[in-house]
Amino acid sequence: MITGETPAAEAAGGTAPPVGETITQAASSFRRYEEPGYWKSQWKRVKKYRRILFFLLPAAAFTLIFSYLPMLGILFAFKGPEFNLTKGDVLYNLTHGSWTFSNFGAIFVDDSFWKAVGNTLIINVIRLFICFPLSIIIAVQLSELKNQTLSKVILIILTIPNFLSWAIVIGIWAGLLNPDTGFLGQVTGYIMAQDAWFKPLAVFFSAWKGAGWGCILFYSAIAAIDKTYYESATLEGANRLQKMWYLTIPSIMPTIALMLVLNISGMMATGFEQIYTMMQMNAGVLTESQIVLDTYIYQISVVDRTNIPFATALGVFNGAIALALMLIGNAITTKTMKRGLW
Amino acid sequence: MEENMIPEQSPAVPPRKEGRKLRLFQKNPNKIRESKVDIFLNIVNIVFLFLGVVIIVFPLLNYFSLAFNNGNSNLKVVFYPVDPSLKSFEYVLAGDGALDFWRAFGNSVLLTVVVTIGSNLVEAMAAYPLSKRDFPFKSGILMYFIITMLFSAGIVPIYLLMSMFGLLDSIWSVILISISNVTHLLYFKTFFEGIPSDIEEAAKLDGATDLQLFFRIIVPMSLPIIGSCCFFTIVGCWNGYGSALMFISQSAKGKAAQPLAYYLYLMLQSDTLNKNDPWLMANSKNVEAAAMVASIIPILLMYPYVVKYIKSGLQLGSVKG
Repeated sequence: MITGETPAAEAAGGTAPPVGETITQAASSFRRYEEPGYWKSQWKRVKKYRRILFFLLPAAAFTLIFSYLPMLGILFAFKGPEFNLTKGDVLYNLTHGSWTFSNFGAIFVDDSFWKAVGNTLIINVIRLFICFPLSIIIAVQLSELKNQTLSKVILIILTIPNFLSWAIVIGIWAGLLNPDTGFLGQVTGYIMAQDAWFKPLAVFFSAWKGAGWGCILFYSAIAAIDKTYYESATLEGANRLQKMWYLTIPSIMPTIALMLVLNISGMMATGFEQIYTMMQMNAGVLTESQIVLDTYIYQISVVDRTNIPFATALGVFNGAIALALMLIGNAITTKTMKRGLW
Repeated sequence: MEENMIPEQSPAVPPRKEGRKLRLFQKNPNKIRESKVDIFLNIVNIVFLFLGVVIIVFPLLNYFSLAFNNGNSNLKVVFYPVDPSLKSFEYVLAGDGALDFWRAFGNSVLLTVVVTIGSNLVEAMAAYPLSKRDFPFKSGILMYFIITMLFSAGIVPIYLLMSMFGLLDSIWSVILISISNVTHLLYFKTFFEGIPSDIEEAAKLDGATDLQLFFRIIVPMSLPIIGSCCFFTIVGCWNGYGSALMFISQSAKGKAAQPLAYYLYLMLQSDTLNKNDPWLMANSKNVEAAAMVASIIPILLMYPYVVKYIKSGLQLGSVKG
């Protein structure tokens, strides 16, 4: 979950494919193999499509090598403490040495892990209460603007930071907040180096980068509302605040609910690049109030590399939590909105 | 979309002329008079949005004018260069910093081109058979791909796999890990399902092979979705450095494999700059800003597409309703 765009970010622009439904369909169709003639009909279809079967090969191969082969690596999480890559290669270590479950137990007594979970949740909950409503508010305000050209121009300006890399975004703000050379830093001092400011700034930076892009989805949902509703509301004597509250917001409620569930499903990920870059800005001094789950796993698995079995166990545990959150979110949206999460 | 929110005019009034200039308050003689609440809301609205634009634009202008400024007068810069100088750009693009910058630039170009073409080609090809309604074992194959989207084994196994392949400290580790993109596979599949099967049948009657059918008919018809997927891949590759942080160390070998975003990230910590040069010490912020400005030019070149994309996305929304 570290690399690439999140599905949510992309769904903001395009139409999201109904993966949740696909999962449900797939689950039900697995049961069909008991039906008489099932294998025969499948074989007939294999023959029918035999010429385009090989289209699947490259994608299947890449997935096998770079997604499924690493899953075998889960075995490392069950290796004893004598796992040591300086003594032999990966296969040697896998076949020699003891097996144990204690690595998973060690996660729960690890202080840094609980600190990381706490900080991750704090940052994400603040984001949920600030960044998420901010996108909706901006979208409503933009659509309330009478001049549609102006509102589009503003929307496009607000999306600019989304196309900058995190290194640039943090570079810009570090420059502005630099007490020696920055415009704002002369007033505020170097707040980026202060522990107390880390979380507020993390939330602020994600809002600065993402709010404009996030509001596109809501903006197009508002644009899709039938204009005659507004006309009749005006005839009934509703003012704009009432129209906003009783018409616009309820109409885009499905979109809001969907994005809310999607946000909550991604609760354990903070955005690795952002947090890690912010941490490195403080001359590499990692304090406990800045450590989040993504960066903690990265730190012990790639930077330290001292306890590979424990690092693997933590990675697998984190993946399992993320999976559980997404499946719960998918179940909620499929039940209540008849639509998959992704 | 294009019309106003409150066009309460009687049919007798001739239609307003569509003005080209921006008008915040449009004059309309037959308009229902706005209540005080509405006028107040309008003002709050405009002030809020104006504030938003300032918060976005001011840091950009301030920082980017540093790139064109001389290091000694950085404190006076507000939103334009006070002491214009192109020396920082000269340093980054043609001077002592040029080797590092262009090497990183080249790596990023390689990464972006290979991943954009490779990933989207591979995923579109896989999506084509899966878009057939009666493709055998369709759900099973789909599950095979979707599972990788939902669950990953974490960093350690992927890191060790790359080390077994001998791809650590090489840009190819980042390239190979980015090829597989199930989200795009699903976008393509959904789009291909919407293409009428009559067209394919007609092409088959004319003697087209399956490869010809895919590359000559399906791909040209799917250019909108392929275009936006390619766009997101390009932006993601150009700006991302999460995988580079994982696989590429700061050793001499790793230095040659850094993509541009990773190079900028290292530059932020200023340990890539030579501390013995007094000019460089005074201009370190400006050099940093110049490198960042130079790095976003390729993305800026794509901005007309972004504008088109956002507009078409909005039209899509309004058609759906």
